[in-house]
Amino acid sequence: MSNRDKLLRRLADGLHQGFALNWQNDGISHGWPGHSLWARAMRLKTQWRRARIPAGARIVVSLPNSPAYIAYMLATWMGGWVFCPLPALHTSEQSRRIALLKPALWIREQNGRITEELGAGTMEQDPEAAMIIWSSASIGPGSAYLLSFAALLWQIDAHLSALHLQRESFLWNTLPWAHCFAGILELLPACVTGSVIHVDAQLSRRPPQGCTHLLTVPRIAALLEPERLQQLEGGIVGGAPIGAKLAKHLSGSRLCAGYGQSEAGPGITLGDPGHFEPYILGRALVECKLHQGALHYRSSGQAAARLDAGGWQNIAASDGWIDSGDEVRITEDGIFYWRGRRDGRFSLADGRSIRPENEETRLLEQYPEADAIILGAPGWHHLTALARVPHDLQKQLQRRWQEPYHLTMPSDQFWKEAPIPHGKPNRRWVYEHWQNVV
Amino acid sequence: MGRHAESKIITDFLAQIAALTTHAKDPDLRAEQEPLRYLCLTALWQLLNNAFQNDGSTPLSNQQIHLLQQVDIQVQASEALTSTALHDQVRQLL
Repeated sequence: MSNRDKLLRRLADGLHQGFALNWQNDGISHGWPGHSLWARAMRLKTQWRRARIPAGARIVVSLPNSPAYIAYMLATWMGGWVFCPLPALHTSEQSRRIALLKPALWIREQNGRITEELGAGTMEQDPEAAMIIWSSASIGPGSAYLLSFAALLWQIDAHLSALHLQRESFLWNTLPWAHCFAGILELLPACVTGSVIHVDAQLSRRPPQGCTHLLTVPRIAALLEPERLQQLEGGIVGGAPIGAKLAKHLSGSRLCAGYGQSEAGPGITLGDPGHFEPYILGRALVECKLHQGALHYRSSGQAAARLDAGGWQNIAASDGWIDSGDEVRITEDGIFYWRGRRDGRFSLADGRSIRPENEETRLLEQYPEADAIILGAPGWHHLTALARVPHDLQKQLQRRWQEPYHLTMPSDQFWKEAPIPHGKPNRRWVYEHWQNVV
Repeated sequence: MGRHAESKIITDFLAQIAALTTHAKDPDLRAEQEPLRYLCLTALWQLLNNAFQNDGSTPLSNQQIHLLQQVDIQVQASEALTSTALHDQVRQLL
C-alpha cells in the first residue's frame, strides 16, 4: 500500500469513527460529522476528475479553517493531487505565491462564496508529494516546502503519544490550518483519532466549555486563566519563545513545550508534560546536533525541498542535516533552550550588537496591551520599541511604559500594510519601513 | 417516495446483491460475481452520495449518513475479496 493510501486509510478510519468539526460561524453552531466531510470530499474528487485535472497537479486552497477546508484537503489527496494551503495574505504576496505554485485549481472565498478557478497547472512527478506548505515568514519572505506522505505519517505518529488524543478529546482550534503547526500537528492527529475540533470562524479568544486539548502559541496561551491551562488534558505550546510568566502558569500542566519549523515538517523538539521554563524547547524528537551554537536536525518527517523560481531546491546538506538558524543550548539531561535567531541579531550605529527576541518576549509579558513588539533597528543610533497596540489601550501602555528605550506606536495604516503572519509582524519589512514611523 | 421506503429499497437491494454473489455454486461464477458486486456497490455509494450532496454547504442528515454507511460496510467486505488492481481502476473511474 502506498503512503498516500496509508494516510487516507487512517484518515478515513478516524473520520468514520467519531471525528466531528464543531464549527461556529456568526454565533451559529454547525456540527459536521467526519462521515459527511468524507462524503463531500468524494464528490469534489469526482467533479475534479470530470474537469480533467491531471494527477500530480497542485490544488491551492485559500480558505479559513472550516468544513470546506477539510473536504478540499481530503479530495486533493483522494484524487492524487498535491494539497497547497495558502494562508490569508496581502494581495501582492498572494499573487507572488500563486505565480510560484502555478496551480491547476485555486479555491478561495470571494464575496462570501467559495470559487474554483482553473489554471494551466504544474505537475509533480513524485507520487509521494502530499503537500506544499509555507513558512510563517516572521523574518524574511515566506518559503514553500514540499512534504511527502511519509513525512506526514511520521509527524502524526511522532506526536500522537505526547498529545494523548482520544475519541473523547475536544480540541479548541486557535491557529490557521494553512500553517504546519495546526495544519499538521492538530488537524491530522485529531482526524485519525476521531476527536472533535471546535473552530470559531470569528476567532473567539475564549475556549469552549469542555475543551480538553490545545495546540497554540504563547501569545494565545497567555490569554487563558492559569486554572484553565491546568485543566487541559494535553496539547503543545510552541511557535514562539515562552516567557517566564507563562512558563510559571504552564508548569505542572499536561501540556508540552514544542519547537519546530515548516521545513522540519514541523516537529523538532517536544518537552515533557508540564515541564516549562523560560525559552524551553524540550527534548529532541528527531536527530539533533549543535554546530557553532546553532541547532541542526535530520528526520524522516522533514520537508523534501524548497520551491523557488528555479524549481525545487535542496534544503538539507548531502547527509540530510538542516541548519535551523536557531541558536540553542542543551543541558546535560538533554533539554534544549532557545537563545535567539542567528539572523535576528543586528548592530546599532555605535556597533553594539543587539539580540532582540528574548527582550521582546519579556516586554510582551510585561505589557500585555501590545499584540506585538519589535525592537530595532539595524544601523540606528538608539534602540526603539515599536508596538502594535489596539487603539483603546495605547494611552494605558504609554502610562505604564518604564523601559530604558523609547516606545513608538505606529498608526493602523502602518500595520495594515505590514505582513503579519501568525500575528507576528515580519521583522525585515518593519526594519525596511522603520524611518517612516520612528 | 418516503425516506424510509427509499432506505428499504436500498437495504433490500444490498441483500439481493449479496445473495446473488454468495449463492453461485460454480467457483468460476462466484469469482466473477464478486468483482461485479464490488463495481455495483461502489457505483451505488457514489450515486447516493451525488444525490445527497447538493451544493455541499450543509452536512448530510443522519439518515443519509446511515444509508451510505450501510453500503460502505458492504463495499469493504467486497474489497477484502477482490484485487487491488480492480480497486485502483474503480478509483480512477470514479
